[in-house]
Amino acid sequence: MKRFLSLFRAAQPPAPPPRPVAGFDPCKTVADAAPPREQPKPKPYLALVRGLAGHDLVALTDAPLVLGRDATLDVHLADAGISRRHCRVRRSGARVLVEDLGSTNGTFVDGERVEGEVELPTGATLQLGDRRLRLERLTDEDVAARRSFAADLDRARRYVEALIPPPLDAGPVRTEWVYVPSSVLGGDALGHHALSDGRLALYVVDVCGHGVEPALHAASVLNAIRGESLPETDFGDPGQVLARLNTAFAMETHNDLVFTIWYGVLDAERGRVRFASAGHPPALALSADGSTLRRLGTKNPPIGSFPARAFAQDEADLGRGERLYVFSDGAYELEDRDGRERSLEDFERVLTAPHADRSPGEPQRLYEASLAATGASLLEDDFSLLLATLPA
Amino acid sequence: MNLDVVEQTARLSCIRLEGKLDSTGVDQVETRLTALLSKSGDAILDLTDVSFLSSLGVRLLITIAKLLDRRASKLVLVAAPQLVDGALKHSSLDEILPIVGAVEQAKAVLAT
Repeated sequence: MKRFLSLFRAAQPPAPPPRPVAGFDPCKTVADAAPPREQPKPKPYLALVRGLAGHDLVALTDAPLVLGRDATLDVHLADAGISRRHCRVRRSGARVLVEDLGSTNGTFVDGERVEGEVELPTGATLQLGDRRLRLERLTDEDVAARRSFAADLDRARRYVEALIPPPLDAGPVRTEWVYVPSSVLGGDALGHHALSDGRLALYVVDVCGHGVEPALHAASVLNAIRGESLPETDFGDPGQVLARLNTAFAMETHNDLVFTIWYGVLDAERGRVRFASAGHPPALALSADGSTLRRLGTKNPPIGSFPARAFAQDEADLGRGERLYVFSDGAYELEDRDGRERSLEDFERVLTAPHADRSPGEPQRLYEASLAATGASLLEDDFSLLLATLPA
Repeated sequence: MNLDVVEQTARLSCIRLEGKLDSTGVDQVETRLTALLSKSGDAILDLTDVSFLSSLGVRLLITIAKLLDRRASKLVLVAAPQLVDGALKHSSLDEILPIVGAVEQAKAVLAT
């Protein structure tokens, strides 16, 4: 991956054309006097499909490139289905050729297994394990534009991250979280804050879509909640919070964006949680000994989708040491190595496994376990999980 | 994601989708589907062969439902129990849109 990024950074936009100088003819404009601009020449690039922010590019120069899992190679792809030295790509005049290097799982061009050395046509997809790269011909300006887009995505990601509070490692309720944006940046956000009466509000938001727009929408929602800036809202009343959000973020006035949310208010002293969810997976409450798992959710449509309506909420008692997992669907809607769609039930089985490690760091370990199950190096959706633990 | 126009008259569009209605699937069909349903008349969306519905797919269905509602037309979904019990129930679309198990049932709903 370093190779992708460094090569990408190496591609600079072209220098601006020399400024034309007007002659003495008063009828002649500056543009008339400018020398004819040379058309930018496209160069071949391997573009990693769904790579980091979808923008990783590697330039194909005269030197052949070896792709594989070995970190010392020209193009290092960390993926369990990829051999250490997987395939070689080289230019031959205007053509680009690819050769499998005896990989275990094979190299494919547009789904056809590569035997010997074959041509990789422009626009064709080269597949190694779960990673796909497309041969594109791009001008320096194209590359600069992609770099700018990738930088915007990265800024949006950092903005959302900056809004997420640090974990609570002291006090009656302990929290931990993991937020890993997908390759194309989804619309997840999460947070918690203390209400004026000492109870703790917890929330996970998932704006439908990918890219900068949903990420910034998620940030707006997060700001409205954590700043308690919704009008005439009791933030200790989850149903009311969702109803107010539904009014404030109607899709008609927000470029057709809708979002799902789980919002809960935790009273650690009484061991009780009030909650409401809208189009969102239920939170999971796991007893301290790991023997009982309960789903905590209510049935409401995604926020912003339909106007004024009441939002159902519910309450549940929580035992001492009980653990509350609040997450987005990206935590379990994954395709595993065998192409099977994983489900909420699969995720529940992971949480309740007999030897599950529930020591500090569990959210990060759950993310890593999901990643391992897919065999990919990045997930296709954001992975967000907030864990709140009651005192034992 | 495949899109088949099963039937399209001035009064009714019946469209069948097949595959995963995830971000890729939505990208593939959104423009065509919206264009097809922008014409007058009610609509039946047959999701029987849709194996997965992501939140982006849910948003697409909501957008279409609103599009039709604005011109006083109706949308009926046809879906397998697995989809109804999963994503359609999670998103509460089962409370907002009529969902039936077969196209003929959908036509009966629209006739009432």
